[in-house]
Amino acid sequence: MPVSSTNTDDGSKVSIIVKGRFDFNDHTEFRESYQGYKSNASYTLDMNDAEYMDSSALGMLLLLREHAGGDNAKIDVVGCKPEIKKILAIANFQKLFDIK
Amino acid sequence: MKILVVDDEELNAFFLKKMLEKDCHEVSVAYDGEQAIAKVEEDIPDLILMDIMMPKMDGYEATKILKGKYEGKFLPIIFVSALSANEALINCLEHGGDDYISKPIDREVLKAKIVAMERTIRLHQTNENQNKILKKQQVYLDEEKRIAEEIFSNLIHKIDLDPDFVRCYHKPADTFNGDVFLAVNSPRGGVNILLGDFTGHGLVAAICTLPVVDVFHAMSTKGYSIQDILYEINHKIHHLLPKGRFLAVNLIHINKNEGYMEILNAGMPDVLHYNKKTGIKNRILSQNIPLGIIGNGGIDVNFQMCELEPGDRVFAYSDGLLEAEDKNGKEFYGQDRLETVIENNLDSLNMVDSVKTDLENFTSYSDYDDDVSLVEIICDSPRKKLSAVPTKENCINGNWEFSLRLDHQSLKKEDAVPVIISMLMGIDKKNTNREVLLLIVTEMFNNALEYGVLKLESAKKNTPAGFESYYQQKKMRLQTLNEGYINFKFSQKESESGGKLYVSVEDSGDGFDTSKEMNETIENTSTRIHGLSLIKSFCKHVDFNDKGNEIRVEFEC
Repeated sequence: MPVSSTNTDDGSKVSIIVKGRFDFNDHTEFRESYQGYKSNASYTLDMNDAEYMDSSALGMLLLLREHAGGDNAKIDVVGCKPEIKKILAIANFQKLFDIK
Repeated sequence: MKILVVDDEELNAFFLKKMLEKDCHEVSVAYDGEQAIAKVEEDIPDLILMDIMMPKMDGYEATKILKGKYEGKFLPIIFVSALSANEALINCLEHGGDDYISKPIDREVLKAKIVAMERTIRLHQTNENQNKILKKQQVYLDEEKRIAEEIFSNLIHKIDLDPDFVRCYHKPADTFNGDVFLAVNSPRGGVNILLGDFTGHGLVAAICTLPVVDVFHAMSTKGYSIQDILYEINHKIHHLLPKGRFLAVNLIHINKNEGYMEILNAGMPDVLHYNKKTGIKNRILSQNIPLGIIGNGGIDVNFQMCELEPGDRVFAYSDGLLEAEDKNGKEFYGQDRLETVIENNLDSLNMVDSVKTDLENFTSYSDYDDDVSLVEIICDSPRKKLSAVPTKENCINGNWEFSLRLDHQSLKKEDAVPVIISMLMGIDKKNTNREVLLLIVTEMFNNALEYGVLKLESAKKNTPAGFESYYQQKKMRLQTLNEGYINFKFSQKESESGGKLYVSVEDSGDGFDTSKEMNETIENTSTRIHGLSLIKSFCKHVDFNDKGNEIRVEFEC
């Protein structure tokens, strides 16, 4: 399964792990990975094993951001490979997410 | 069921016919293969019972011919034979038969086989009917799609410009294109250009482009600044689009009169600004979030100002270019390859063609996964020759006049140019010299604002560094403006040839030594004088008051 998520007991910290190509095919799985969690939780998106992302994956990040409270969302994106970092930088997503 | 019995022994055929008729089937008879084919041609039966050994043409041959002839239609054939069971079954299936029954025929077995065959026939019929419906639907959808696609491409690639000025190439990944390219002349002088790429491709992405096209066209033709257009597009799609959809975009305003461009890159690959002699000189990186993600309150917009020199070109493209794969799906086209093509073809007359050819060689003409758009803007082609010819028809509204005063607050808040343009267009909808008139008024306004109210020095614009800082200064001074005004007066009087339009623009500035600059020519590099000579070239009279803070022109329309 390319997308999985874990959380702390009280549900305040959620981490979502994406593997392989991150694109439109992961749409449903990605949404399901965070849907059950509270909007005020702090989210970490673990991209260590992600190889690639396309613009619909950027759209999915925005949906996660919306779920996590829009402008108040607390989302860290960690472990991005250089190619993915570049895609995020072109879209200037560092203005919307904490990219580490 | 309509059943055809084929048997060379009359007696056999007779008994079989009687047997079947008892079960209420409609039966006809043929006595050899050739006759069987003729009978089928006359009236296609639902089922054929075929003997194998017959004179003239045997059952195998007849089956082969019939199956070939009625391919696509289900014409079941059951072989009737005295041959040993296993061998005959294999043989008959190999020759295209559907089942086998041995002689002498057992009535119950035959009945059972016919019932089974009826089930298969019904299945085939249902299948065939559904296929027919599907085919009809497909034709209908294809036609709808074709028409929609035509409307879309007319809409989103409408460029009312000289092909010597912009060149573009589009290759949609789907029938519908999620990339959008627009170029519109602005009445304030210059051209507005938009190259955008919506998330995804296909129909949804194409629908998203509609409001963008609408806003861009309407606002550009009304003379709004490229910044205002950007905010309006962002506002519109932020409210309209579902979350997670956005527009990556290059918005460019090219002003050839004054030799600069304003450019914004929001989520698109690097725009390359290069010169035919010196190669790539500027790389406009994406410094903004794509549009539609956050509301106007939250966006922070970075337009870059670039000076344009003779031989300058701008090359913009969607990421579909960089991500086009070679035929093995192993490698992306990529940034380096693109820049090498540009550097190697600097003197190319058509860079879009050069890049396109290289891309096609790279991908071996295979389909792309994403829409690909390439745009080249030729920055130094001569301006369209404008001319104004006075005619009587331009004066149908008779004599009129109005004046407009903008104080520092309205100068700060509102872009005055579209306001003035819409007023003039409102009065003189059909004026054939409108384009020239609007250009003159825009120039007069810009001079009054920049040199009069904001007290900027035009000479500073003459070096690239000074050029940048000039426009930064303009922005800063405008933001902190706390005094000043501009007064416009327009009056039109009917005359023999058409009409005379008198325009005067007075500003709160200190004026300037008009005697010196009035005599300079258009070749002079000073932008102020360039603007002035442009005005002079179209107006019958141009003069100033003594102080030099009011310009008065007479324009024949």
